[in-house]
Amino acid sequence: MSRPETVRSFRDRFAIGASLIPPVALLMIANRAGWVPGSPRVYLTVMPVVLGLGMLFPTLVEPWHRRFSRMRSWLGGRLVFLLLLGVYGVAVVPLAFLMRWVGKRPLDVARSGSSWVQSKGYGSLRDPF
Amino acid sequence: MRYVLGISGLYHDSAAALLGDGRILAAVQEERLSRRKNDARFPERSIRSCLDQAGITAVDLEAVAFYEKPILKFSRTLEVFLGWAPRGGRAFARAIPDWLGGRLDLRGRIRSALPGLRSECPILFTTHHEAHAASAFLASPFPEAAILTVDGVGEWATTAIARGSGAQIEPLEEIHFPHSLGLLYSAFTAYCGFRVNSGEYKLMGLAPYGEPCWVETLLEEVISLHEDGSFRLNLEYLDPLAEDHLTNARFHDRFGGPPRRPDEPLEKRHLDLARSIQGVTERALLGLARRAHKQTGSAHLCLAGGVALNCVANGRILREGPFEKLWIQPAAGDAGAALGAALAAWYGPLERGGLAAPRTPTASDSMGGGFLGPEESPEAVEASLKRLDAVWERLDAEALLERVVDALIAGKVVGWVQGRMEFGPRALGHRSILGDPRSPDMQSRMNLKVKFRESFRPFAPAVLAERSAEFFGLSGESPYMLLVAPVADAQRIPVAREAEGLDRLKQVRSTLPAVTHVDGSARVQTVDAERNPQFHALLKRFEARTGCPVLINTSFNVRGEPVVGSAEDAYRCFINSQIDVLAVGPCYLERERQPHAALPRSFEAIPD
Repeated sequence: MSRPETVRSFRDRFAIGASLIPPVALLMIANRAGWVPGSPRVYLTVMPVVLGLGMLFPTLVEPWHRRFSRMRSWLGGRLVFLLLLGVYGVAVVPLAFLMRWVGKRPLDVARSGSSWVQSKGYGSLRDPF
Repeated sequence: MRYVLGISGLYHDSAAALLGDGRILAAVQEERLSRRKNDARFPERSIRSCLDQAGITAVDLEAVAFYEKPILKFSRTLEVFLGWAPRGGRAFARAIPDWLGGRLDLRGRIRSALPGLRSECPILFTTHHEAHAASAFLASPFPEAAILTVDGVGEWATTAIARGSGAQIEPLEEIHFPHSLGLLYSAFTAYCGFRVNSGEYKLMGLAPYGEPCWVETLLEEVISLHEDGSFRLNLEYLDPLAEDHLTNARFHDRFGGPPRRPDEPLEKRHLDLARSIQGVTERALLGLARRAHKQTGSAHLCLAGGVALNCVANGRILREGPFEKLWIQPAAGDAGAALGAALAAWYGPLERGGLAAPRTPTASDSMGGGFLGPEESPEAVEASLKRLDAVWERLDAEALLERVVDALIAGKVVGWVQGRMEFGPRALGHRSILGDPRSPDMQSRMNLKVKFRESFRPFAPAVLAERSAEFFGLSGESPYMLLVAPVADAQRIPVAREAEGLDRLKQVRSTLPAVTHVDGSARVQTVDAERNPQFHALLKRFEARTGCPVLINTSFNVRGEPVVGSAEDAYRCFINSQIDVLAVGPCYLERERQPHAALPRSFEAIPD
């Protein structure tokens, strides 16, 4: 629910205004690639202007801010997912094969034999490990 | 008074529990307050509720205990990925952000959730199975006992045997991940189309409709049970890193097809698989119980861990196992581990960082009947009803009992909200929907029109403790509805010809058809005046009018909803279902007098 302009915190206003900067940044990148007319200086000048306008009139910008936040979360989540998949492939999988090569198997997946493991005790309550 | 707070959460069923000088003052599951089923988030509401119930703030806490060791659990998670690689990449990418996003720094998280917590107040960490063991033994009436805890997985242990004596718990031996009975049962739960960590008891309820024709296959190919009570899973059929279905293509080929979607009808093979896995689980648990007896020599057994909610298996352990007495933690799942963590901290030895309090078990257990949650005053109840424009009569205790019994005899379904909220998954007469068990159509009516749930699911009886032996083959008490027992022969009605599959539901098998399952069993709650005076009084009044000391007692909620907590939750559920009468505190409400046909739900519906 939108709050009246006067009761928003500076941090909220800044966040709402800042959500206008990425589209301008994308336009600037497109300008550098020659797809959009104008000079980079114009776009650089526009950025603080839109930030200021967004901070002064947050209610007007808020619908965009909400959509932008959802897009950002979605994109951020997927980027992190892909990054961690990369970490898995580049670090975890080779390490796993190396461990198997030297005879270390973290998981006991044998099908036979007792699976009882003698308890080593509960350890100190002060330790989280 | 010295206060210790226990916390569980961040995986499923978050909860908090508060002890005062070792006595359980309060315990609350987060889902009851947040209205999100199986809520796994950090239990801030539960913590606040526990402190409010005791009239204290964080400043007054002597210690805070968390139910597992997060860094040990994280290292196990990493080792499992190393052991499972090259499989598991997607699970890794999903799991790591959760850990880095706050699961590792529990101290910081706890301190920020408890403003005012003194810097010298220690934050302690039990192991997961220590928390379960403590919740079972230290709350039990036994001075010494064998302790068996069985669940999906804690840090490494999935099964643990310990010896309890006095205030001390000595861990003896464990079975480690991935060999997990809880994981196996959950795999079949998901395969049959129910939700993991909440649908397991549906699988248990489905089992009597099937045939045990898959048992040998399961024992030869999926799980091997050993003479020493241990077991091993064949991981070629399971995917332990998958969060939802847990089974793989080989499993699907072997057992007749892909996992059932919740909207698809149940087939015979699902019924047979449910029956078979239930049988295998019971055998495994009996083997574990015998091992626990051999290792400890005790005549008493305490049970906890999510698998201890399998009350059919519990009944078999009691009847066929080597122990004379059995006590099961009513909140046997992870919610109860919050209580266990607090108890472990309270009684734990000084050298381990505990408070080293002495323990004197009482003849009854220390769970206070399981009624450890908040309650509302009559004035607060009326204020809520007024806010919702409800129409009610305020009655004194006697008049309320009479009117409720009138409604029950007339075949009406009654919502009953009295006193403190239960802690644990079962409703025990404080947040219950009640009905007449003698009615042949009550089970299907309540399932379909009141609870909006699968028609095959049986309802449970609450019976006066002093007359339970006449109706059920149960030796001893069952105040927490954690034991399944056969309906007594004197109440059984022979069935001329047994139908097949789900058609068995329609056949009347006893004088209490609504609470008799198709195999002639019932999940019994014995109600005594000491633990549960108000519900006992209601049962006595019903018995006086009808001769029957039994009522249907099912939890006050509909499908996908946590059990109601407040008067407002109860009223909304009452309006949105086909419950005929609501008795909340001293207030009596009838459906036809209410101005609403429907109200916005107070809960986040979680699909099956």
